Order: sequence, then structure tokens, then C-alpha cells
Amino acid sequence: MSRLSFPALVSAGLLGAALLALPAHAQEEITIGAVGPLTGPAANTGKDHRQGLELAVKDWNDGKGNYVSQNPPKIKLVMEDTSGKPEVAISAAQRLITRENIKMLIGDTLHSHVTLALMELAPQYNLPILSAEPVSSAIADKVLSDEERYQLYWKGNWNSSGYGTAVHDFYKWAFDNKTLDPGDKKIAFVVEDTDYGIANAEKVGELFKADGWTVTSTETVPPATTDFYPQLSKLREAGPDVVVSVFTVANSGIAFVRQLKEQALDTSHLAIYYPTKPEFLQQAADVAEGTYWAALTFSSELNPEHKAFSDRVQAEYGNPGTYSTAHAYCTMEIALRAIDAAGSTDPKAIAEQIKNTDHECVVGRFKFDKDHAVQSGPDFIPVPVAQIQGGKNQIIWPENVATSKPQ
Amino acid sequence: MSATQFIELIINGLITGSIYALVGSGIALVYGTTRVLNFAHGELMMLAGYGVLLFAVTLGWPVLLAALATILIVMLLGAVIQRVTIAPLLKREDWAFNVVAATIGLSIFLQSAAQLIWGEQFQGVPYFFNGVAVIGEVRMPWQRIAIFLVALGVMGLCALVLYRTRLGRIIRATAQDAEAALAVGIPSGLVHTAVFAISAALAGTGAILLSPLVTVSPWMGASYLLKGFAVVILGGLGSFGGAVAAGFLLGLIESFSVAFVSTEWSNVVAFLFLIAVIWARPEGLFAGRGA
Amino acid sequence: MLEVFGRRPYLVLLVMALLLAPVPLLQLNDYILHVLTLFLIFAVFATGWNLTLGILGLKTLGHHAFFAVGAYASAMVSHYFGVSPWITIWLAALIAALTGLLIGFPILRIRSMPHVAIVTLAFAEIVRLVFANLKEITRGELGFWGIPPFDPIQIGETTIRFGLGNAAGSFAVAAIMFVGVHLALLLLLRGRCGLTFLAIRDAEAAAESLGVRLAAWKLFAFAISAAVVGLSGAVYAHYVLILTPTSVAGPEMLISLLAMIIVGGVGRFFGPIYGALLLTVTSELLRDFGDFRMLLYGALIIVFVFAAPAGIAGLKPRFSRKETETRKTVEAV
Repeated sequence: MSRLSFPALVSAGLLGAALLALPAHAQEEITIGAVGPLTGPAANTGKDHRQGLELAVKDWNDGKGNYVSQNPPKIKLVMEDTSGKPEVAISAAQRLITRENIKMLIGDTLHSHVTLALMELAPQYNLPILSAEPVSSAIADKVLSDEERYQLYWKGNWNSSGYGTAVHDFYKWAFDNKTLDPGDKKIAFVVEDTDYGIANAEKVGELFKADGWTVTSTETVPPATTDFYPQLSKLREAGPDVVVSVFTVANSGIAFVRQLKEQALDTSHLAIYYPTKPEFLQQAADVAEGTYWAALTFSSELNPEHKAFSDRVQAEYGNPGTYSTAHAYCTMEIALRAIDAAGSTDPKAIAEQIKNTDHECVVGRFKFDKDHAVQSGPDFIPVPVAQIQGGKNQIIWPENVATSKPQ
Repeated sequence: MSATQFIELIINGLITGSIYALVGSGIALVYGTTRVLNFAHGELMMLAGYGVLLFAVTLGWPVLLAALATILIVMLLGAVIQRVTIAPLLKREDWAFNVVAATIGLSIFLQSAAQLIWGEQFQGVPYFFNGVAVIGEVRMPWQRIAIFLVALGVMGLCALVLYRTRLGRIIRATAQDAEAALAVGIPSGLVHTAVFAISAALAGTGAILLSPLVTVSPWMGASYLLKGFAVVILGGLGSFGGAVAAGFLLGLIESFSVAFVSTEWSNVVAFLFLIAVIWARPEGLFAGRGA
Repeated sequence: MLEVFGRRPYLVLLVMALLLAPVPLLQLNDYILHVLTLFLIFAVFATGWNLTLGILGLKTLGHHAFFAVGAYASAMVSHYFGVSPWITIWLAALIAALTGLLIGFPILRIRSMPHVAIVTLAFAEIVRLVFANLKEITRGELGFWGIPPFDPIQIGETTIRFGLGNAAGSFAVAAIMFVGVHLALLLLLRGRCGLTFLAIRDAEAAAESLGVRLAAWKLFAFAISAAVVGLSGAVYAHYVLILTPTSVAGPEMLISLLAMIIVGGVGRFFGPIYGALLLTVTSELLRDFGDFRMLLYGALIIVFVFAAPAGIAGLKPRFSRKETETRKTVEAV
């Protein structure tokens, strides 16, 4: 044997191993695939998603589901990791499609940029795809740009404009009833450099500008940043009347709120997303008093239904349920009910049933809009603004669901 | 720009810079003595972070004791890494690149191992020093001031060891010519290990000081590694004092670039500065005495 | 030369081409074709990088920047100006080459390995941040989408389509690029050019004293290397149809590619190909191990550096050692 053919032999053997590792076993049950960030910095949220998805499938198969038909199909769930990267997600999805023969894909469970890549698979593989938590409005824009092409793709969460509108409407309400003083009408943003942070900052900025405000600066920091002194120093100089911060990593938020307090900036602060994480209040209770935040979509303390759900997750997995767990549970329920109602695994029929969804679930009422995204607002999934008062979260807006007045 | 903001920018720059200086001077020390570029240096910081989390938070030890225990453990780890993964490679002809490759592999390995052991969450460490110092309009928490002071102290101690003790003379002799040092009876292998341990202690100190501010996670060291390398090059490869000076300079550059351009461009400014310096003065800004 | 190319490099390449040719006709499932397509793209990337890293001996650590430049350049030109990707990929290679020259100049002044490594690493970080920050045109981390796939080709009755979901066509493009690039490089490197590169690597001062114009040659090598990597980035962009700065120029790209080259064999012409195959396939197989994937990835790098520093390409079955030894003697003579 020459030395040339030895590496070739190794490679050939590997390829063979790869091919053999593809046992396409027949299943009587219907397989649903899911992809989400199970490793990497967002893995915590990805694991919540996995619990939510698994729990929904378990309930469904155990006869405790919210069925449409008399004879619901048995479901099998296979979830793969994306590491939060589009190309890994595509790879994982293709594997699910060809190896597991999935009839529907839940994905991405978290990232908008991954979803933007994944949704291309819907027309190409004739596969219904339902994303879970991604919110970026860019996804809805893409659907509207070619509705025919993306007819099988649906977005299981509202558009990022939902947050923007809520934040803007809350402040407008607070200024109108003199709870807050608009001052010189200057707003500033400190957001993390992800689709999520930027999309939210852009939307809020746009709405405030329409009311005659100026955006003094938008500081984007890498995800998981925890030192904000340079930014705070700049903010103090600009003297904004409203500061909006957006982070998906709770510790960024904890650090930001703490440092904002240390610097004693004279501004109203509204936080987006990170206070939904339980560790935020645990670690920042002493400095977060008075912080406004959006959106209190899940609260075991204020909402008995949420508490019941969180307790179930606790009993099942040993950790409390979060908004992500609940949302994943609801997303899976939508998928299961659509397959059940379609009565077959025909992709068009399933997509048609997703479109017709009008489902009351633990985080709200799911109903899709023309842009294939779930609608937000008081009648659908509420986007309430909360304030931390006495170390506890209280809903302060909209008034019809408020548990307390702003302080 | 107001005077207050100017002062704040300088203080912020010096505090960030002191961490860069700690990380960079550790890398410079190792490079100066052994010509080894250690890509797993950031992971020593990460392990120190978990160490302080374990001792100070989980076990509730007093901060000073927890810090000392952590530094000792990290020094030991640094020595083990040098003995097990780096020393055997040094005999090879193309060892320089082999070491880079091996330490990159080690860095990924340690990061994922930490992720498997401790999970992905970012874990908070409470402030060691409470309260905020208010001088005029400038407000600065004691925790941050402590970072600067402790870092200065530790680096000063290191310099004292390097330039005023027998160990320091041995280290500098090995740095200048390992073979000649061996000929006069200095065990250069042991010296290399010792230098690694000192470098690990510097990284560990940085991580302990930082942990209340940046939180502990498997990735906490990774972001400081490239900054540490930049500092080493700016300071003149292998120069301890140069690295310390360059660390503070880089911190100041970053702090001011956030103020004049926006945050997301500050790292671009910092790295462009590095490339510009390389272009103009490949030997570094403060090249002079070796380690 | 023998160590770098093996004994019959053209034959090896021919065998590889013959192995690849029937693959699209095998009716393999799309997933396998997808993995193979990624392997081919990364193999070209790794080969391009190996040109400076292994063959010229310049230890650069920032070639993922050229991959990103190629990918974004081709994606943006085809998206914004409606130019066919068949044309833009060449433009991308050219732009990557020019970028290579840009960073090549400061590097020329440096001989120290750590300097080169760190400066190129910092350069890649600058490129990543620039793509992430120019949100108006790249959409930053939101992801650049709307990248057109390669235009379909009509051959007789059949239309070949490309891009995600059209696995056979995409595989064919990657395979043609793979064979073409390697053939072109072999032609280039087996001549005077390759000899000069190796001379620079093995004895820089001696080469210079013999009248080799170091600066020009190094820049040339840098530009070629960047062009090859840029081309692979462009093909990648028109295959996955979405780009984010972190996914193409982030540290994980650096580590994956470095691992491929090290595992395959630094400085061996065919080494990176084996490394790309091994790591692309194993990282897919290891998916079943979930969290342990990256752990094993790191371990693999360490193991290869220690146990097989010449990579897979340098592995020899035991019973051929005698043959190798004889050959060495001949070479020495």
C-alpha cells in the first residue's frame, strides 16, 4: 500500500461510516422536528424551549392534550442543536428532513437570523415550518415580499414592532397623564448587537421620532457585555429623558441597571426582555427599584395560570417554567392542533390549519395576521409594561390589566 | 465635552486598561521567557472566575482567602498546562506553530468542558467592596477603584520580583539565553514552569477582580485574549513594562473611542491602532528591556 | 517537494475528481449531499489558507476575514446590482485578493511569527466588526438575506438548479470549484513558483540572498491565497443564501478551519482536504453527542498536534516505513 492511498482509505472509511449512520426507521407516529440553540451563549433559553416542546408532546400523547379531532395522531419530537448559527441550523434541519422524515419543523426556537435562513427550506422541501420565539419584523417583511413562496412558513411570535408599539404607547400614556415628564424629548438606546436588540431600538426610535423626539445615541454592545461605564459616561453628557435598554442575556441587564444606579443618571429607564429572566430580580432587586420594563408576558406571582404552568415544569424538570418554556409549549400546541385538524400530513393542509389557528394558551391568544406572524395587543398576546415596586413586578400598563399604579 | 466627562473617560480607561495590563503582562512574561504564545491564557482567567465563584459565593469564604486559594489553584493549573502540553512540544523544529495550535485546541477544550460542568449560564458574583465614591460630579464605585489599585499592586509586586530578586535574575537570564543559563546551572525547564505559574497568577488576579463586574461564564476569558495579545504587541513582544503601559493605553483608547464614535466601532479603532503601530514601529511602542 | 505533494499529485486529484463525478447521479439523500457540499467548500477554504500557513510558512490566523470578504462581496454585488452570481464570485475572489494585498503590506515588515499571527487575527476581527456595523448595507447580525442562488443552467431538456434545497446542483458547483482550484494550484505550485514558496519557508534568508524578491513573492502568495479563500466564501454565500458576520468571520470559523488544516496536515498539499472531510463528517456524526461536540473538537486538535503533527496526510502505514526511508536517502543524495 502506498502512502497516498492511506489517507484516502481513512477518508473513504469515514464517509462510509457517515452513510451507514443513516438508519431510516419507519415510524407509525408523525415526527415533528425542532431546531434551537442547545449549546452556546443562548443555550439556557434553548433548554427552556426543549422542555416546553417536550412537555406539550408528552401531554398530547398521554391523552391530556387540547385536541381538535376525536382521533388525534401520536407524535414524536426530535430536536437538534443550532449553536445559534444559520448554517448549522440548515444542516440540522436537512438532517431531520431526510433522516427523520419530519412532517413539520419548529424552528428556530429563538434566533431571528437563523429563522431567516430556515424559512427558505419551506418552499424547497415542501415542509411546514413554524418558528417559536423569534420576533424580528424582517421575517414578516420577507413573507410579505413573496407570499406564494413562504405560504408554508408561519411565525409563532409577534413582530418586534409589538414591543416598540407597547413601549411608545406606554410612555405616551405616562406623559399625557403627567406620571412622567418628557423634558427635552431626548431618547437614547443601549442595546445588544443582535437582531433582537437592534430591531427593537429602531422601532421604538421611529415611533418617538414621529412624536418630535430626538434619538441622542444608539449604543450597540456585543452580547453578554457587562461593563457599561463608557456608555453611561456618554449618556450623562447627552442627558436623555428616556433610556431604553435591550439585552437577551440577563447578566448584561443586571450589570446595566446596577451601573445606571451607581452613576445616578437623572432619566427614566425602560428595560426590554431581560427582566423576564428570573435571575434578574434575584440579583438586581436592590438596584432595580422603579425600573420600567416590557413585557411582563409571564409572571408566576401575578398570574395563577402562569404559576400552575411553572409548577408543572418544576415537577417535571426540577426548574421553574419561564416565558420561553411557556411559549414553546404553546407553539407546539399550535403545531399539534394544526396537524390534528388537517387530518393528514399534507403540507398545504397543515399550513391552512395554522392559518386558521385561534387558540387560547397559557401566554395568550394565538391568532395569525396576514404577514404570517402572531398578533400582539390586548386582544391577543398582551404586551404589558411592568414596574419593579417594592422588589416585586407589577403590571402598570395597559390600565385594564394593571395590578398597580406607576410610582 | 465637559471636564467631568473627560475625567470619567480617563478613569474608565485606566480601570479597563488595568485589566488589559494584567492579562497582557502575563502573556508578555511567558513570551519573553519562553517565546511561547499561549492561546489558553483566557481560559486560565475563566477557571479563576469559577474558582472565586466556588470559594467566595458557594462556600462563603472571606474574599481574601477565596482569592488566595483561587490564585494558588490557577498557578498550579498554569504549571500543569506548561508541563503537560507545552514543554513536550518545545523540542520540535516547528514548535512555535505547534504550541499555538495545541493551546488553541486546549482553549476550546476547556471552554466546552466548563460549559459541560457548570452550564451555560452567566453567574453573578457580588461586589467585594460596596459603596460609591463621590468626588465632585464624578461617581465611582469602590469596586472599580479597587480593580485599579489591586492591579497596580500586583503588577508592582511582579516587577519587584523580576528586577529585585534572585528568582527574577534567573528568569531574566533564561529569557536572554536559555542554553547559556543552563550552562551556568539554571534549570531552564523549571524556570519556564515557574514563569507560567506567575503568568497564570496575573490572569487569575484579573479574573477575580473582574468577576463581580463581568459575571462568570465559560466564555469570560475569550474576549480578553485578543486584547491581551494586542497589548503584548503594542508594548513590544515580551516586555513586561511595555505590556503594562500598553494595557493602560489600550484602555484609554477604547474609553475615548466610545465617546467620540459609537460603541460598536471602539474595538475597530483599537485594532486599527494596533495595525498602524505594527506598520510604523514593528518592535512595539515601548520596546526596551526584555522581561 | 515530495513531502508537500506526495508522489503523483495529478493522479490523486484525478482519483478525487472521479470519486466526486458520479455522486450527484447516485440519488443520495439531500442531507448527505449537503454535508459533502460543505466539505468541498471548506476544503477549498482550507487549501487556500494552507498556501500561506503551510506552503509559504507564514503563520497567519486571519483568513476567515477573506472568506467573509468574498462571501459578502459576491452576495452584495449580486443582490444590489442584479449581477449574476456566476460573475460576482470572480469579482469576490478579486476583491479578496486586493484585501489580501492590503494586509500583506504591514505583515511583510514582520518576521516574528507571533506578530503575524496576532496582526492577522486582529485584522479578521476588524473585518467582522465592519460587516457587523455597516448595518445599512449588510444588515449586520440581523443577517444578510436575499442573496440570489446561481442562475439555473439549461442543458437540453434538463434544467439544473442551485442553492439550498437543490442539493445535486449545489454539489456540482462545489465539486467543479474544488477540482478546478486544486488543479490550478497544482499547475502553479509544481512550477518555479512553488519551489520559490518552499524556499522562502525553509530558508528565508538564503532564498533572499539567492536573489528571490521576497516581498513581491510573499505578496503574490498572499493574494492568491486570499483569492482562493474569497472564492470559496462566495460559493458558500450563494449556497446557504444567508450571511451573518459572526457565522463567516467569527472565532468559531477560525477554529474549525485551523483544526481542519492541522488534522489534515499543515504544509501538505492534500492535507487540508482530508482534514476538511474528517471534521465536516465527524462534526455531523457527533451531533448525536450534543454537548460533547466542541469538547471532542478541541481534544482532536490537541491529539493531532501531539500524536500526528503532520496530520492525516503524514500518516503512514507501518509496513511502508522502509520504503520511505529509502526515499529519504535518495532525496538526501
